[in-house]
Amino acid sequence: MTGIDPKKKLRLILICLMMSLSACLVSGASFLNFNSKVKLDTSAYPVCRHITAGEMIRAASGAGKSTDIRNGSYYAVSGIMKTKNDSNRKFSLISDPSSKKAITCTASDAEVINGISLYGPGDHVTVYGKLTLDIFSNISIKVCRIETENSAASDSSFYSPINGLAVNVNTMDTKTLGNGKFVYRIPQAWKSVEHDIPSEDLGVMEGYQYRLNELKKSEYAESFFVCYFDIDKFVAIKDKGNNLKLIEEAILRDILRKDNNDRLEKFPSKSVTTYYGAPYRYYQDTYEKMTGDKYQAEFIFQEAGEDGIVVYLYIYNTQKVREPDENIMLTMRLAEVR
Amino acid sequence: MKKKRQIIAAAILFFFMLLSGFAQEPVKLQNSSTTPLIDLDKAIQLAHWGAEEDSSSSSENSVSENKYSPSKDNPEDDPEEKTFLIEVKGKNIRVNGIEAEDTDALIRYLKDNCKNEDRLLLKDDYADSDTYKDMLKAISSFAQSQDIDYSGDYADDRN
Repeated sequence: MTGIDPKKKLRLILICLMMSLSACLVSGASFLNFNSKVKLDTSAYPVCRHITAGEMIRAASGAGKSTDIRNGSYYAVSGIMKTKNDSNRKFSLISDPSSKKAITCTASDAEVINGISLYGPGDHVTVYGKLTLDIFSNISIKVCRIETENSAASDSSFYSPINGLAVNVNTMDTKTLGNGKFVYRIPQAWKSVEHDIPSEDLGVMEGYQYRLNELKKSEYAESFFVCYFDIDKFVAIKDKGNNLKLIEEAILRDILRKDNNDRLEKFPSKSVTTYYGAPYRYYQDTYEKMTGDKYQAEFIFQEAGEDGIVVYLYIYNTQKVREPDENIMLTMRLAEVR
Repeated sequence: MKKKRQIIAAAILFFFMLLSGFAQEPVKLQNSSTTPLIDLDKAIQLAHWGAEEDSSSSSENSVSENKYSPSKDNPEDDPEEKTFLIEVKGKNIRVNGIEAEDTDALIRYLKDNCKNEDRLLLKDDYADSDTYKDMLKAISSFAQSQDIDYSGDYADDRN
């Protein structure tokens, strides 16, 4: 290297830099958007599936019918506290007094530790947290919340946002889009604020708008859209083989009213696989109405086979919305691409 | 030799740029340019609390018996005594299961829906202390001004 002309060295470095930049663009460059913060962050607002300690232990050992469990996912586990250490940072959870296998629960948050201190061996509790399974099928939960067991909500029909109330999925309304390719559920309360996009002349994409601010009695717009983009319907045959990113870009430009000369500042979208295994691509931008009012727009795209894309869109007033509606996270958690 | 290396480097760079979508034609969607996939202007405009005068193009579906309207033109169609259960969990406030954005929104809702013969029941479900105090203060003041009964620290006898 000592013999190389400095000009040549500089040229080589520049070429390598440009090739790396191009490689970033190929890969989706998600790390270039690492400063983007979204409200629909599934890891910040997880939804726990209810399960008993016994079912979880059986599922981990591969025995019995089941209830699959997923490493890294969030659960609300009901059981009996067996042992607890003096610092209240660690305890074990069993299904019944005769169980030999236990779930190890740990906590580091001060508020959670304080909650754990209220319980002792023999107490029936429900523990909310993130599951870790090791290669020996030992189960640990990183605890986010603990409370007295709610026996009415301990089976897997129930789901709870991490700090919210338990919801029985059987009481939720099931919706389908894309001729059954995409199925999702909404809470009953959303039915009164649901609007069919094509039928009510709100656009041409199949889907629904949920006007959440009306439920909250707020005059500040907050809407959640769940849509299915039919590639066969909206994309010409010659473009169908194209990179999905180009199709997503076209969707964004259409909805945000940006023509090809306007820059989509945070495109391409950021790819994330959620704790429940859904592969999402996030995009965030500002939407400006004709009147000049501005709103935050968060898009999530999820492929639905070869012919469709699920599009979630969350529109809100940045000053007024602190956290996303927990029912949005629940709806996304329960949605299924078939 | 030098020129050959430069050509190879430029070709590799161009190849990467092609892979990244450079020089690819943007996709043009087949919906009409006048009708977007979602008309956000319209959707946001109609999502205005109490904007029933804008509901002409989304008539039946947007008005339901459960939908709250701030209009005072609504007749008193429910003469019976009602109970309003106000729950505070963390920083979240709900009235009869419906989430209120904050204490002001809660009081606005009560002003429009509560009558003298109705009752307010307050439930502290691991409430954030500041939120609960603010809510209690607002409710006390409202209940006094409207001469409405309320009880605090409601114990849920369903538990």
